[in-house]
Order: sequence, then C-alpha cells, then structure tokens
Amino acid sequence: MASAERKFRVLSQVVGAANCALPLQKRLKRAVDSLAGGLDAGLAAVCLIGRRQDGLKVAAVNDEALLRRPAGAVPCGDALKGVAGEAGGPAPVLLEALFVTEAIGGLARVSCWPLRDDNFLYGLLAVGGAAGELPGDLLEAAARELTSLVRSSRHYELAKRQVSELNVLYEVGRWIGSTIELDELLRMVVAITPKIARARSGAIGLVDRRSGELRIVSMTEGGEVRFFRQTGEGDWPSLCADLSERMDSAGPAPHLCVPLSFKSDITGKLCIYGLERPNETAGGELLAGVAGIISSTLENAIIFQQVGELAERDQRMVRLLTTFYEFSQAVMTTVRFEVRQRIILRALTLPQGLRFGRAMLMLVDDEAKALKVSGALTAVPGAELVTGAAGLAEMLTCPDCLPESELFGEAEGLEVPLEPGEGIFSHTVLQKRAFLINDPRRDPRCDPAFVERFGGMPFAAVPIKAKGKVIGLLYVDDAPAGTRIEERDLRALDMLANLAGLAIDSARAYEYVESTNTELKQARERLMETEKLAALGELAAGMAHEIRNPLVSIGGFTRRVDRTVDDASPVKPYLAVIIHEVEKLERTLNEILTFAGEGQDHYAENDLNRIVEDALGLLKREFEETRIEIERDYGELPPVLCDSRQVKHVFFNILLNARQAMGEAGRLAIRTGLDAGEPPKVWCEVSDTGTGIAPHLLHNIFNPFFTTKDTGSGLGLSIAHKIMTRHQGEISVANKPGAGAAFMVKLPLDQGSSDSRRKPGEENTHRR
Amino acid sequence: MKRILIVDDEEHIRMLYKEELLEDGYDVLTAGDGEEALKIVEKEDLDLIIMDVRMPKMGGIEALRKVKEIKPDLPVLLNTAYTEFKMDFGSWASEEYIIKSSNLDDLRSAVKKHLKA
Repeated sequence: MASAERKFRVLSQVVGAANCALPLQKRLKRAVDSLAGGLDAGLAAVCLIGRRQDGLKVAAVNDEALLRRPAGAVPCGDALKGVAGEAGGPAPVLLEALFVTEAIGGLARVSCWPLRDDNFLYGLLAVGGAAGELPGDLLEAAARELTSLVRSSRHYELAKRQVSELNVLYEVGRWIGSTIELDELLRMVVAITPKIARARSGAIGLVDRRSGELRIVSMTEGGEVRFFRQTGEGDWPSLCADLSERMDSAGPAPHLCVPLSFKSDITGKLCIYGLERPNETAGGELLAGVAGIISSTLENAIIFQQVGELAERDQRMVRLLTTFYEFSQAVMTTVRFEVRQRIILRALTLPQGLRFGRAMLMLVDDEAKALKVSGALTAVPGAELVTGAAGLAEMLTCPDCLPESELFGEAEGLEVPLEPGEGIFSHTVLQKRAFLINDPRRDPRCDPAFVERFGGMPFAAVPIKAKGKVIGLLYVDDAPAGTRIEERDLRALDMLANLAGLAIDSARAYEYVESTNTELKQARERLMETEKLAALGELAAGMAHEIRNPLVSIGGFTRRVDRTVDDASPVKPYLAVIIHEVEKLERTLNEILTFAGEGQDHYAENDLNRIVEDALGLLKREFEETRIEIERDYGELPPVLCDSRQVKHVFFNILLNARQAMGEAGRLAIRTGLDAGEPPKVWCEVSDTGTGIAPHLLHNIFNPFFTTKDTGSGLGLSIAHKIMTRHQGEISVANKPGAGAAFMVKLPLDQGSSDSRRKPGEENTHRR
Repeated sequence: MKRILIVDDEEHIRMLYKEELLEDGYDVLTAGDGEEALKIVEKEDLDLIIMDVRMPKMGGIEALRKVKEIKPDLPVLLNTAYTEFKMDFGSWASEEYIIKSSNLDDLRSAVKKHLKA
C-alpha cells in the first residue's frame, strides 16, 4: 500500500511528464516509466486506438521486453467495450495479444483504465505485475491526465495538418491563378502537385471532347508515362471515380490518381508517381483538393483557348469570305474569258487573296482529250506596296495597276493527255478530286519529270467544275508561309475553284453566243451584199448590150478614119483618144457582163495549182519589171470542179492587186493546200508585203465600183467575189495593215448538184 | 476571091465590117436578118458567114441551124454583143463565138483561120 506522499510524488511526475515540451511519444514514455517506477509495477503501458478506430496499438511501455513480437495494432472491435464500459476492468484478449503477460505473473495481475473524455475513447492505460495492490485513485487521475495529453496532442496535429494543407491549396490557387495560358497552367500543375504530395513525378491527362479519349497533355520531366497509361486506360473513368483507389506498392510505382471534374463531367485525370509515403491516405484527399481547384481553372483556360481558336478561325473565315466576295464582285465586272482568267489567277496570288507564289489554270480540251495550260501567274513581288489601300476587287480588275505576269516557264506549253496514269493533273480531272501534295519528291503519285518541271515544292491541284463536269483545274504552289499547304487552304481553293468554274463557264457561254451572233451578222451582211450585187449586175448587163453595138461602130469607124489620116495631122492624137476610150469602155463592159453572170460558165475538173500558176503567167511581165520575190508553196491537191477561166480571173485580180499594193519591191507568197473539213476544200492564200487595206475599207472591198486605185474600174475584186459565190467558194482578206494583206480563196471539192453550175456537155461549149 | 456574107441588123456594123473586109481583099455580101441571109445562102456560093445573133425576124442561132442543114461545111462565125448565147446549145454548131469589139483583130484572125485555102 503506497503512502499518500508516494502517490502524490508519482502523480506529480506523471503530470510533469505529460506537460513537458517533448514530443507525444516521449512524454508518454516518461509517464509510463514514472508509473512503473513509482508503483513498483512490472508493466505500465499506454495503448492508443488508431484514428480509424481500426485497432489498438501500444504507444508507450516501460519495458520493451514485455511487448509481444511482432508489435503491431491489434484489432479491437468488441474487446474495447470492456475497456469502455468498466473502468479498471481487464480486457483479457487484447492484453494477451499485446503483452507478454507471463513475465509479470499472468493476466490476472494487470489492470486497465480507459483514456476517455465525453466524446472519444482514445485508448487505455494498463498497469500490472506490482507487489501490492494498485492505488486506483492515483491511476484514475493519471489516466485522466494522459487522456488530456493525447487529446490535445491530437488536436494540435490535426490543426497543424489542416494549416499546412490550407497553405498548399492557397499556394496552388495562387499559382494557377497567375496564368490563363493553358500550356503554362498544365506545366505548372504537374510541376507543383508532386512536390506537395511528396512524389517523384506527375502527369495530367485531359479527355478529348471529340473522341472521348484520355490523352496526356503535360507531365514532369522523366514522368512515368507508361504508368499513366496503365493506370488510365483499362478502367477509365471508373478508376478516377474512386478516390481511395491506390495501387499496391508492388505495382508499377506507388502512385495516386484523382479525377478532374467540372460540372459533374469528368474532364481529365491528375496522377502523381513515386509516392514517398504510399500509405498516407491524407495525400489522396489533398490531391483531390488540388484537383478541385485546378479543374475549374483548367476549364476556364480550355474555354479561353477554344474561344481564342474560334476567334482565329472566324477571322480566317471572314478574310476568306471577303476574298470570295470581292472575287465574285470582280468577276461580275466582265464577261470576257481572258479578263476573268486574270482575275482568278490574281485572286490566287495577290497578298489580299490566297497568297500563293504561283498559280496556273488548265482547261480540258474535249476534242484533243487533253488538259492544256490556259494561263499562269507568278506573284508579283511587292504587290502589297503597289496596292496601297486599294481593295481586292479593285486589284483584281484594274488592268494596269500590276505588271502583267507571263506564263511562268514551267507552265509554258504544258499539255497533259487525259488518260489514267498520265500523272497528277489528269488524276485531278478524271477522279474529280483535289490533291494536296506536300512532299512531291517522295510522293509516289508524282513522277520525276513532273517534279523536275515544277521544282518539287508543296503544291495543290483542285478540279474546276461546272454543271457537274470537270472543265479544268487550278494548280498552286509556293505556299504563303513557304512551307506546307494545309487542309484548310485546300478547302479555300476548292471554294475558289467552284466560283472559278461558274465564272469560266458563263464567260465561255457568252463568247459562244457572241461569236454565233457575229457570224450571223456577217452572213446577213454577205447575203445583202450578194443580193445588192445581183440587182446591180442585171441592171448593168442590160445597159451593156445597148452600149456595145454603138461602141463597136464608134471604135471601128474611128480606127478606119485613123488609118486614112496622115501621121502628121493634128487630129491624129484625138482619134487615138477616142480609140483608147472606146477600148476602155469595152473592157469595162466585159467586166460587168462577167460580173453580172452573163459570162460563160464552163465547169471541168481542174488543178487549182495550175490555175494559180496560169494567172501568175498572165502577169509575168508585170512582176518581171520589179524586185518582187515570188514564193510558191503548192500543196498536193485533188482536182476541183470549177470554171478555170473564171477562177483564173479571180487570181489574176488578186495578184494584180498584190503587185500594185507592193510597188517595186516586196515578197509575194502563194500557198495552196487541202482543208479536210466538211465539205473538204482546196484553198489558196496569196499574201503580200504591200500597204495592206485600211480597216474601214475592208467592208467595201468586194463592192462593185469600189477602188482605191486611181486607174481601176473597181470591178476586179467584186467580180472575184461574184465568181467565188457562183462556185460556192469563199474569198476573204485577212488584213495586216503595215504588213500587207492576205487573200484566202477556198473552193469546195464536193459542190453538190447545182444546176446553175453543172450543165450537160459543157466541155463541148468551147469548140475550136 | 473568097466570098463572105455579113449578117447583122445594125446597118453601121454591116457597113464597118464590109469596108474592112473589102480592104482585106474579100468579096462581101450583106444581109439584115436571118431570113434574108438564108435566101442568099441558097442562091450564092459562099466561103464564110459572119452572123449576128440577136436580130429581128430570124435570129442568128436559128439561121445558123438552117445554114448548117443546107451547107454543113460552110463555116459560120457567131459575132455578137451578148455573151450568154455561148451557153445555148444552138450556138455550138458555129465555128467560133466572137464577142463584138471595135477592134476587129479577133474577127480578122478567125476569118483567116476558117477560110479554106
């Protein structure tokens, strides 16, 4: 039985130990040592229940030898009820599990006091193996003292941890609040998080909104990515939904993963690897806290970035639409194919347009079954400077504001057969699809000759469609950035190609209508002219007959008088004038009669070359006197049915004209050939290097009595025209002012069965 | 001496041709139309006829046919202001188709050519 003094001393030692400045562990040890020493007890120990109420563990014991090995927590469960329910009552099973009770004389000699307050049971104080009876009041007081020690110490620990976590969260919040750049934010998160949670590395993954896949977007250097995959893909997202999920340390690496969620959607995953203290559950909660803070910031950053991207795309679209709008405006200003082509090529190369270095337009030639270059343009260097503030539409349409670029050399004369296997251009047309080739040198679709020709730059070829048919293609290379051509550029090109298709198609349709209209007009004019000539001719013929007989009399008798008059007579010159003038009148009469259709037609199969040569023979003397060179290029011709005299007359007139237009020197070129059209025609072209025919006179050149020559009757070419009309042939003059004129005569080989020209027995008409 | 018949309704023309041919040393008869000409052909011995085509009463083409029925070997030269009769079958029976001209060289050479020596 301990004296009161001794009890007081022991209690004061316990109180002293409990309130000293040592860590909890050491204070408890001192307290149990004091109890064991003061009460002369073999065992004095404090056992505490784990924070999760999962077991009882020895926190301090006076003699380590009394601990059962291996030491560890003992599941308490119901056994603790004994401790809790009855102060001082033994809890036999627990004590047996914790202590070597044999050494202190058996379980019967161990007493326990609960460490408890109104709310919690913290553990128990066990004392045993003492010589006499244990002083209950002393131990109860000691238990109370130890209870307060454990409680306050636990409170302190909790407070400390909460403060530090708050600090961490504050820091995280501060860091991630300092930026809105998504990349930087992600880098920061994976750098900071492992430090907070005491891990080696970290990684962050986000769910791709389109594919639903989880992709790593950032990680610390040397991050254990393979583990991220392992811990992510298999059971994503269920893994992340379970916060307490922890891989065993025998796994890839002790790690921890928490989901990033925003508005109840899982948006990603934050993982840390190589945990220093894998068993510390608090890390998970902290990490979840961090995740909570960053996921909303992350969401903001993502939205910000998306908005940025959308804005950029919008800007691009607006620019593109502006280009297309201006292009359409420019195209509407003209219907000329050439001008529209220039607009298309400029839209592709101008700095305000699609900004390619080179552009080429190829069109399908249906007859030749080939693609042919129609136009090409190299961007004009410094076009920005030329443009000033001018809008694109203005730049596209102004004829002179930019130097006119020529076909770039590579495009010159390019012609591609439209057959499979004829290279990328024919593919573009035949397959009706665009090609974007960024590495022509290594692309199997480009043959080496092509690469050689165009220089192996990234290029795109886009089909031009009109009314569902491919009518050509656009080729561009030398992209604005000088590097690759992107898919989106291809889409822009495609849209431009569609607009170009419409523009080209309508321009062609217009030109077709226009040329048909011109042809009609010309045909009408010719018809009118022919009718006019016919009426005039009949009139002239009627008059001619009435005039010829008197002329014969006048001329004939004058000649008779002339012969009787002496050469010295003063009337001799007068008579000469009469004779001469009568002759001239008779010649004019003959011309009118031929022209009026009263001349003799006799058709036979003739060689056009021979006829031309005969006509030239008639003018032999005329040409011999000059320094005019005659160049003959006669083709091999089949015989043609015609009146050789009349046709000879035609060439006589043309050749005489040429001779007179050239004066004393020049070059006369005569070419003949066969035109295999429908019907086939033989033709002869006579070109001179004379004065040519002024454009305003061209219209009248085949009119009767029209002449620019002082001495001509003006009937020569109109008769030639008449003769050709009777032969269903053509006569035309291609004018080259300053360079001479070229007459073209064409005679059809198959002239049908025209009664006016084929008469039975005509060959006999000219018997001699 | 060769005898030539000139048939023409124009008096001046007959006169001109007659004087010219007389100078050239031919014997010359004249007629004003085809009927008159045929009468002479029947009566007289002729070496050659120079025949106008368009004449009153009987034209040159018809007269030509009839002359050839009577005397197929008598050469007839058609001499006319018109070119279109050249396409008339009837004219093909003539030895020559000559367009009238104040220059009588063509006519002279044709006469010379068709008068048998």
